[in-house]
Amino acid sequence: MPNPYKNQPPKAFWATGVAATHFLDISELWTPKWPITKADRIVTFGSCFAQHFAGALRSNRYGWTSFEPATENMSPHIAKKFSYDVFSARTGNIYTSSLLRQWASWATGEAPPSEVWYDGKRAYDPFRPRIEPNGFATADEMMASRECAIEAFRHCMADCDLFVFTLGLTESWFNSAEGFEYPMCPGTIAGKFDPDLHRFRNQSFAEIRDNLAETITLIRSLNPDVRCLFTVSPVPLTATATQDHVLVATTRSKSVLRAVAAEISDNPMIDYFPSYELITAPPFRGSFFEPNQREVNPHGVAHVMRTFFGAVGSEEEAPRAMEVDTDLVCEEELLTAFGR
Amino acid sequence: MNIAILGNSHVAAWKLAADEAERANVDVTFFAATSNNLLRVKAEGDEIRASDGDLLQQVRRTSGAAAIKPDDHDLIVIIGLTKVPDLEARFSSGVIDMLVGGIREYSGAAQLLRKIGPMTAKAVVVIPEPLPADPTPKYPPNFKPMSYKERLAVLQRAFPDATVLGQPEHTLQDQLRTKSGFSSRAPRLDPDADLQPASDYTHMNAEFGRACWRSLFDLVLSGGVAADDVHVDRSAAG
Repeated sequence: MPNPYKNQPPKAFWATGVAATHFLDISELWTPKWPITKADRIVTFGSCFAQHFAGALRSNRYGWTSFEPATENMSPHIAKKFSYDVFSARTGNIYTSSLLRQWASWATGEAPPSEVWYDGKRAYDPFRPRIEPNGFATADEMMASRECAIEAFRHCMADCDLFVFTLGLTESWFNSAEGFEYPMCPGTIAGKFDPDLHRFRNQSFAEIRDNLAETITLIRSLNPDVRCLFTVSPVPLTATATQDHVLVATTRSKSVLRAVAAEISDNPMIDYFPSYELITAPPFRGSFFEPNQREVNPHGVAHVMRTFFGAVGSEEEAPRAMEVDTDLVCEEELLTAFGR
Repeated sequence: MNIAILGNSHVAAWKLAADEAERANVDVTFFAATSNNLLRVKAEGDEIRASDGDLLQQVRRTSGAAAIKPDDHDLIVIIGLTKVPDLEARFSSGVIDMLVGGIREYSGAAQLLRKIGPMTAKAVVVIPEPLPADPTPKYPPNFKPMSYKERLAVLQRAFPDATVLGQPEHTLQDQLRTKSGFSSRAPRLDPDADLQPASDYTHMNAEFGRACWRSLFDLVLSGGVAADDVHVDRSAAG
C-alpha cells in the first residue's frame, strides 16, 4: 500500500505548489465546498476588508443584497458617508464574533441596550458610532435607526442563501455592568471612557469559536439551509490595548481567528475562504501591502477577489484587472489618531 | 394671467391640454426641451436664450422663439426637471438634510432657477416629474416609503423660494405610482413625433395634463403663489 503522500496532487507539496511557481500563478488555493452562483442571495458583514467582498460581488453581478439600501436619489458618495450599502445592513463594522452574536441575538428577540452617547446635542449610537457622520438629531431618531438596522439584519439572516463574515479582531471592549460589547473603545470615536465601566478583553479561541457557533445556530433558527463563508481579514491591527507590540498582538489576534475559522468550517455547510493567506503568506513577500505595511493595496484586493471569482465561476468573471475601491469605512483606523 | 411653462418632455402633456388654459383665459408660453437640455440655455440680460442648434430647434418648436423673458410673465412654472425623492421613514433627518442639499444644488430645476433668479422676482412653481405608472414596479426588499405628501414636503425644502406643486391626488394609484390609465397615449414634446411607446410609464397623457392645469389654477386662486395677476376664469374652464 503506498503511503498517503504518494497520491497527493502537486498543490499538496510546497516545492510544486509554491516554490516552483510565480506567486501570481499559485493556484488551487481554494476549492469551494458548494457552487456559489449569481442566483444566490449573498449578504456580507465584518471588518473593513469585508467591504471588498460586497463591492466585488456587486460589480461582478452576483446577488449581493442590502436589506437596508440607499435610495436611488442618494449619490454613491452620500450613501457611503452614511454607511449605506457598505454591508448588507447598516450595522457598521462588526470586528468580532461576539459582536456578530450580539447583532444576531438582537435580531432574534433579545432587547438591545438603551445606551446613547451624546456630543453636544447630537446623539450617537454606541454600537454604530460612525453610522451618521454628525450623529442623530435625537436619541429617539437614533433608536429608530438602530431598530431598522436590527430588522434589516434579521432579514439578512432569514433571507440569504450565503452569509459571508470576515473575522477582524480578538481585542474587544465590554460594558462590565451590563455585559454588552462595543465595536470601538468608548471615548475614541464618540462617547466617554469610564475605566470602572468599560473593560478590555482580548478574546480567547474558545470564546470566539463559541460565539461564532452560537451565531450560526441563531441564523439557522431562521434559515435552516443557509450556507456560511468565513474569512479572516489580512489587515493588521491599527493599535493594541494589550501590553504587547502591535506586531505581536496582530499575530496573536490573526492566528486565533484563523484557527477558529478552520475549526468552525469543519462542517459541510460552512466554508473558509483564504483572504488572509492570499495577502500575508511568505510567497507574496508583502507586495500586497501599502508602504505602511498595514493597508492592503488595490493589487492585493484584486488578487483576493480574482481567486474568489476564479474558483466560483468562469475565467471571464475573474478579470486580471479589477476596479478596487480603496475608500473603505473603517472605524478601527481612527485609533491611529491616538498614537504618539 | 400670463404663465411661462419651462421644462422637459413632461411639458408635452400640459401642452396637449393647453385648451384648459385657453378656456380659463390664461395666456401660456411654452419653452421646453427634452431631458435636461434646457439647462444649456444662456442667460443674457433679462432673458434666457437657446443658442446651440439642437436646443434652438427644440425650443422653437415649443415656444416659437429662441428666447424667453421670465419677467414678462405673471407666473413661472418649471415642469419635470426634478423628482419627488424616493424616501423611506427609516431615513434620519441627517440623511434627508443631505438629500435636500443635493437637490438644491444639482437638480435641473435648481440649476434653471439659478439662471432665471437674477432676472425676475416673479413667483415660481416647481412641478416634479409625475410618479411612474409602472404596473409591476420593482422595489428594494422591505421598502416602506414615506407618503407622497411627506416626500413632497421634503422636496419643498430644496426650493425655499418657489412653491412645489405635486400631481393631483386623484391621479395617484398609491404613494409611489400614477394610475396606469394616465400614461397611455402619452405625447412627445415634438408634436410631429409618434406617441411615447406603450412600454413608457414615465410620461403622461392629455387627461393628466388637464388635471394638472386645474390643480395649478386651484393653487393660484387659493393664493398659494404670489403671482402679480391671478385672474383665472374658472367658470369657463372645465
